Amino acid sequence: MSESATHATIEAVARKSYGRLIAYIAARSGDVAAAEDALSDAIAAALERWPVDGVPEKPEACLLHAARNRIIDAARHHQVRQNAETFLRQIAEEAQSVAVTQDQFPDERLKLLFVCAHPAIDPAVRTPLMLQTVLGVEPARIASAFLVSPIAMSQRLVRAKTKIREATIPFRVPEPPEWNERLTFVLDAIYSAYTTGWESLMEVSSTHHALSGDAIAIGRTLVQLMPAEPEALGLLALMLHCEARRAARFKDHGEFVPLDQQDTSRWSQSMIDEAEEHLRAAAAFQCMGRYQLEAAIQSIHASRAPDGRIDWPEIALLYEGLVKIAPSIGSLVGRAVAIAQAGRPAAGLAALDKIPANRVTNYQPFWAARGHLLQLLNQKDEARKAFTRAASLADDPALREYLFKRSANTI
Amino acid sequence: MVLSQHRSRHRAKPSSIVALNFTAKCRNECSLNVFDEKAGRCLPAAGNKKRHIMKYALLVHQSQNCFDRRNDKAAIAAGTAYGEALQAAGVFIGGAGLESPQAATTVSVRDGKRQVHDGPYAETKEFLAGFAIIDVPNLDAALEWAARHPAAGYASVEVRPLLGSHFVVGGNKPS
Repeated sequence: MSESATHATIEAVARKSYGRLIAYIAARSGDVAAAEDALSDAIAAALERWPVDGVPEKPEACLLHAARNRIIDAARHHQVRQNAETFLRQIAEEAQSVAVTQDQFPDERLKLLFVCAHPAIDPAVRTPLMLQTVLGVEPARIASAFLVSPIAMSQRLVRAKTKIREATIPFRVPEPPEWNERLTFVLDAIYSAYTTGWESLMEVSSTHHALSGDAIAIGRTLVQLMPAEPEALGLLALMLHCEARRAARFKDHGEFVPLDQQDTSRWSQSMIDEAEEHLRAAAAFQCMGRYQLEAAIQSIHASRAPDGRIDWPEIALLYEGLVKIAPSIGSLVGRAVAIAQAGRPAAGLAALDKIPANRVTNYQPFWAARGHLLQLLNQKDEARKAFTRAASLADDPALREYLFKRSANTI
Repeated sequence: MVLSQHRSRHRAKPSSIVALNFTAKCRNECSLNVFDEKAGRCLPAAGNKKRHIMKYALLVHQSQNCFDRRNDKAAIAAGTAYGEALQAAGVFIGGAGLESPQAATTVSVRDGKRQVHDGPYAETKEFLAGFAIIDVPNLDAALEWAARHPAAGYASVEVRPLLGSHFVVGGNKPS
């Protein structure tokens, strides 16, 4: 094997196994940062040795075995916390046995996800922490997606990992009564990675776009780890439905296309099919939740008739359920639009106006929705004002242009 | 559409934990001491297996308003019950309510010179009104106990891990 091919193999193994290796080591030591150090040393050693010695038969196990050396060093030389030595030696022994036997080492990524989204971790850093530890995403890339400097992002990540170690946040999968809330934190952090990659409508090749793919990868991992959790299935279905439309959101020259005017032939049918499959699997558990409802709404959009007709009354019904369990500002706005589209524009506008004013001052979708509803009601002056306000709040150039156009065309 | 709560696995009971106490010196030599509540001091733990333990301080921060109601019958009863629950679970290391910040005196030494001033370190609207040191395996267990603290319902309970997880009780010299 050529050197570059060996490098590619190492990179592929590292990428595929990164989260599993980190989770496995950290779940035993309680120290994510130390696990990262040990693994990055192991990868560096592999990059040196493997081109010479050849790629080993069980590369994953060999990386773990190599990480063991660093772990033992840490036990010997570092300022090791009380009792940590026992744990480190235990890992070292287990790593050894995994490396020399046929056993797979246990998958601890679920515990790692629950640690990343622990309520004792700053909510703003939960998603970056997941991206870094579970997928090995570079902090610089995470920083650019979250619009902060790489230094600031690194500091936040370090702080979070120090907290995990010093406060002894346990690597465990919570049980009821904590279960529902804790799972929500995990799902929300994954969805936040997705929306960070989605809300910005910038060019397809941007870091934002890549982040959506990362979020879907974590969503798939979660479903793989808990196949019987309907909300995890719902979240994956929701992300896939949105992702399926990516190519249709812009015309070739970058012009924004709203959902109801998208060219459905540009939708990814395979992603839609996969989303529908997950949603059906979720429905079988008969246990409705926020993400299943949101996915169901997207599912109706995806199955719109060839003539563009959409079952708005059904969407309005789903929004009724959604605002009951998750009365977010987004779902309240969505509900108002659905009511209006289902043939009751005045009732839709009334629902919109019931949302507390202080929550919508800077919320662009509210003003776009308001413009749309006022337009339906033929209140043109007010509609124009609302579209202009929405445009002024849009952070994406293509969307801003679209909203200004709607304002100008309301005559 | 069915909107229902799911999962009814049993809630994990906090495991009964023997209060272990050890000091900086003894930690590397497997000589853990068992904190004996009756004797109020640590006894050497013969044959005790070394295990991971963690100590946390639960720090109660409250306003003057809440502080003024600490002698209400209900408040005393709730505080007593909580203390008993901590003891019964074997997680209680120590703790106390504190007198008012007005009773505080703050000391610092600068350039070898002792400076003493009347009052707390910082005048704040909410202040430290009491603390408990508990010994539980991890943050989740500590948060569970913090949430049960009667003051959690009207004030705030800060959970801080102890540095190195040591807490030395008077008369507890490592042997």
